Amino acid sequence: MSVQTILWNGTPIAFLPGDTIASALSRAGITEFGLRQTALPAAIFCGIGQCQNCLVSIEGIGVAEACLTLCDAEQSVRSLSDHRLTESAHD
Amino acid sequence: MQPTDSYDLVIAGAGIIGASVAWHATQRGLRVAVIDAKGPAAAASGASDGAVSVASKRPGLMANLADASLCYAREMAQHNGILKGIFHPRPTFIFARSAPESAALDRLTRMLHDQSLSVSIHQDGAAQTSAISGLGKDITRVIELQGEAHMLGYQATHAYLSAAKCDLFWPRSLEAYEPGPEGVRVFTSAGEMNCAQLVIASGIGTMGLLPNVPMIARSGQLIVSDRGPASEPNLPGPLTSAAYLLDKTANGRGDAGLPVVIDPLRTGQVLIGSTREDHGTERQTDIAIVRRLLHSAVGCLPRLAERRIIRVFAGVRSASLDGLPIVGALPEEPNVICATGFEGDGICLSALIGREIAAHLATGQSSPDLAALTPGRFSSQEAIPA
Amino acid sequence: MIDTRPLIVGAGPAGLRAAITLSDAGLHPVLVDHAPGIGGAVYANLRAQPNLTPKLTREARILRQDFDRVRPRVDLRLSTAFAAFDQTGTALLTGQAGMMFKPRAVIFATGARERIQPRPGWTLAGVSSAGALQIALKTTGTLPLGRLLLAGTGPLLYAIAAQMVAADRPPVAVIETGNPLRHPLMALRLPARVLTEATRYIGQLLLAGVPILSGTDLTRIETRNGALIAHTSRQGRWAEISVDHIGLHDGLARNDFGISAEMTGQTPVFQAGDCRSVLGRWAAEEDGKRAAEQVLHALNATPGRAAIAPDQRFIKTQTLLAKLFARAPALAAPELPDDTVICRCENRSLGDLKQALQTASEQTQTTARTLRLTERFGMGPCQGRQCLDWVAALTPDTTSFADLRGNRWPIKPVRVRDILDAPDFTADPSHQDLK
Ligand SMILES: Cc1cc2nc3c(=O)[nH]c(=O)nc-3n(C[C@H](O)[C@H](O)[C@H](O)COP(=O)(O)OP(=O)(O)OC[C@H]3O[C@@H](n4cnc5c(N)ncnc54)[C@H](O)[C@@H]3O)c2cc1C
Ligand code: FES
Repeated sequence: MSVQTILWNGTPIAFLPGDTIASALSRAGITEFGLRQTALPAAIFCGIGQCQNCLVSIEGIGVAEACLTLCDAEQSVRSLSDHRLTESAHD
Repeated sequence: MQPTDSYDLVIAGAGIIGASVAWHATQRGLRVAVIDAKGPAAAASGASDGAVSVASKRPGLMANLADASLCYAREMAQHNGILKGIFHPRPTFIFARSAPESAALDRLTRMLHDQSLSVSIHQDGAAQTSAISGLGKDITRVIELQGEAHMLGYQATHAYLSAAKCDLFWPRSLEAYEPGPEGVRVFTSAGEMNCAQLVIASGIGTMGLLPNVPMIARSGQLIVSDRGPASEPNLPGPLTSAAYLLDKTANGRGDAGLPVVIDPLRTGQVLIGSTREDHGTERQTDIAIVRRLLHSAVGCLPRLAERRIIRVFAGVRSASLDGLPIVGALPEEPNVICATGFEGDGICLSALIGREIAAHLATGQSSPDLAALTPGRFSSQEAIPA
Repeated sequence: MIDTRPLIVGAGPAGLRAAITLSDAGLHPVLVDHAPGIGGAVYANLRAQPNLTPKLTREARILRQDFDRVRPRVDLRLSTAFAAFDQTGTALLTGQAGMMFKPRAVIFATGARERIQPRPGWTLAGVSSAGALQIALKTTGTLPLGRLLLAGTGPLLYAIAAQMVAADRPPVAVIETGNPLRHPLMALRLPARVLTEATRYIGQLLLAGVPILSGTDLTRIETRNGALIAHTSRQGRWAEISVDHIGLHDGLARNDFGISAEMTGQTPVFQAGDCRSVLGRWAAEEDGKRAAEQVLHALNATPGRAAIAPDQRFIKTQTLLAKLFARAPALAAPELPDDTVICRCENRSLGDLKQALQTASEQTQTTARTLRLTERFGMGPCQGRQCLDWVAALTPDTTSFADLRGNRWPIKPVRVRDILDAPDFTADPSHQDLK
């Protein structure tokens, strides 16, 4: 059985069946997924979809929690570090 | 200043109107107290989207007042003015998707021309010619206006109250008052206060206090998105449907389409609004209506489909029966001034109203511009100005 | 078609047991979870790792078998978030199997959230909740590379540490703020199965030589040469531990954000499991059954059965555990510097909060509204799940926690496209012009 991979910012990362994007990335030693818009690092924090600290951009899905989304072969996943870093929110 | 229970002026309501009156009155040397049942910007001022818009006003008096307030706010945003960093000039994009909406744009063009307002048309044409890329194919025509602005209600409220040298009290509600020759006795949930003059700027709360001033609660639902990717250009200004103008100014919008507004925040977030529903149930939001607003918004700006919604909320606007704000001394009670009924225009009008009420309080002279807004119009038999 | 099947939100022990109970009574519930698998926090994908946690696996198997039996009658929607429920009785689900419908009844079984006390450095990559490390272990059998450290307080820390030992990746240490091992006599009053489990965990840790540093605070985390440096303090004595991952845990709280009584309208709404009261997995399962029975009662599907009170045994156990782990109040630590981030989503610090509270005078309180609108606490995408406990702890009690939370929907951020794509089974003519 050949190893399946996702493309993390263009680089292939192996994943196992049942892996979420977060678990595949951390097995590969990637703990920082990019920068949040507050300039704090994006990374796994709660692990169960509550904290929104692990958001990434997933091909075919859009912005989603890395900890809730299962890996799909050849799927491209990118960090959101290109997100804007502006003053704090106002609404 | 030590808090006492005797003031030149007590203001009931720490929304943007009460806050603007407070700051302007302290500038004129009055000794002022502001009380609020909950706290600053606790009602409509905290729930509004902050458009300072002339285009959405009814032609005639309302457009003139809005323009005067806009010009004054522009001044206050300059140098070290009180609204610096809070009032942000920006263009407005008003679009049409249907013949009735396009007709509304024509009427807007005429109004701006006829009334020689400070807001001007920068561009008018097909969607492709507008400064905003990626508009949906529903949109057939866009007018870009120059001269309007954005100002968040709670930020302005905060700025006015922090700078005003006055006493603040909350939670403390106005329960009743008693005008007398010496001034006004004010009965609050935390005891009695005395003042020469009382300003009631309690928004929807005014309804219970002044039963002779007829008002309607008009609720609106708003949707807030996430910040979106930096690769995505921020909208330079709000995308407003002409149906929204119709909804606010004419006798209903007929089949013009949903009155959607897509309003960019400085963070990259967008506010999508807003409905006008004749009920006062604060916080009541419903999924079906929100979905229709979103559907309409995505039709205008397809890239919104990828945004995430982080919050939906509703606010209640206080409207008057004839659609004009209610500003001025109460009939028979010259020391009690009412300032309410601003519906969806309070952020825009707050600067002017604060200045004019403060002038009236300090000098006893009321501005002729505001004569048509007098609460007396509901008790007299005279025709109601439209 | 108007869809009125009862809705259960959350497929942990409470939600699964509720689904089983409703199905056994002949109903066809909709069971939704935003995770890709059933089991919730405690039984998440346990089949992948049968040897890690034999007892949990056994319990999970029984629950799973019961669920498999009713599976054909349950409309299970995974990778699908519950987004909203409004006063018209409409529920909105979004994601893989989204839809809009009008459930006859709703059971929220959204479990617990971990409380994690803010500390300088808690926002660094590599610092997560202890639960997140456990989830990785349970669902994939692996842990992130490098040295692991657990810190905070509460029984869950030991469970996780023991599971790490079983996976051959013992933590460098468990840093425990409280002093639970100092009260062996009190511990003996715990129910037998809790005590057995606890003893086994502690035994495993001692055998593996994992130091348990009790009465110790993890005061600060920083990075140095690519490693995380944990600064600890025990009665004024300072130490440093260099590791690669830190799991923090300061207890559990109900994950009931955005779930308010106001949202109910006419529809009966119940909460079950940790989302109603954090009493652990055994209680959660029983509570799921109870909530289902309440639904049946409300729908008149069973003859006159009253709601069953929460089980006193479980409450007693939790009270005792709380005493065992008793510690100083949150954020009391005077050494917490002002630049400590409190709100991770909007990057608001302890200093920002203190300043906002200082502007209040004797006559004015800083209102919940101001803390939200002007100070931005609770306004980010986690909707206050991480910061509001601490904001409330530092704010005069007149500011009610309910006002701070706001209780607005969606209960988690959802994509516009997903909201629009959800098929509509409410059959309400007022929104048929959408498409
Ligand atoms: C991280 C963590 C680890 C734990 N580990 C242990 C342990 O090892 N041993 C032990 O005895 N106890 C443990 N507990 C406690 C135990 O998990 C609970 O007592 C028990 O699981 C509660 O059951 P529940 O059904 O109420 O909630 P849960 O099992 O947590 O299930 C709730 C479900 O709801 C889902 N959900 C939440 N929000 C939404 C939404 N908007 N839309 C759709 N779905 C949603 C969640 O994904 C989850 O699947 C742990 C708790 C946590 C938080
Ligand atoms: S780690 Fe918290 S949402 Fe994914």
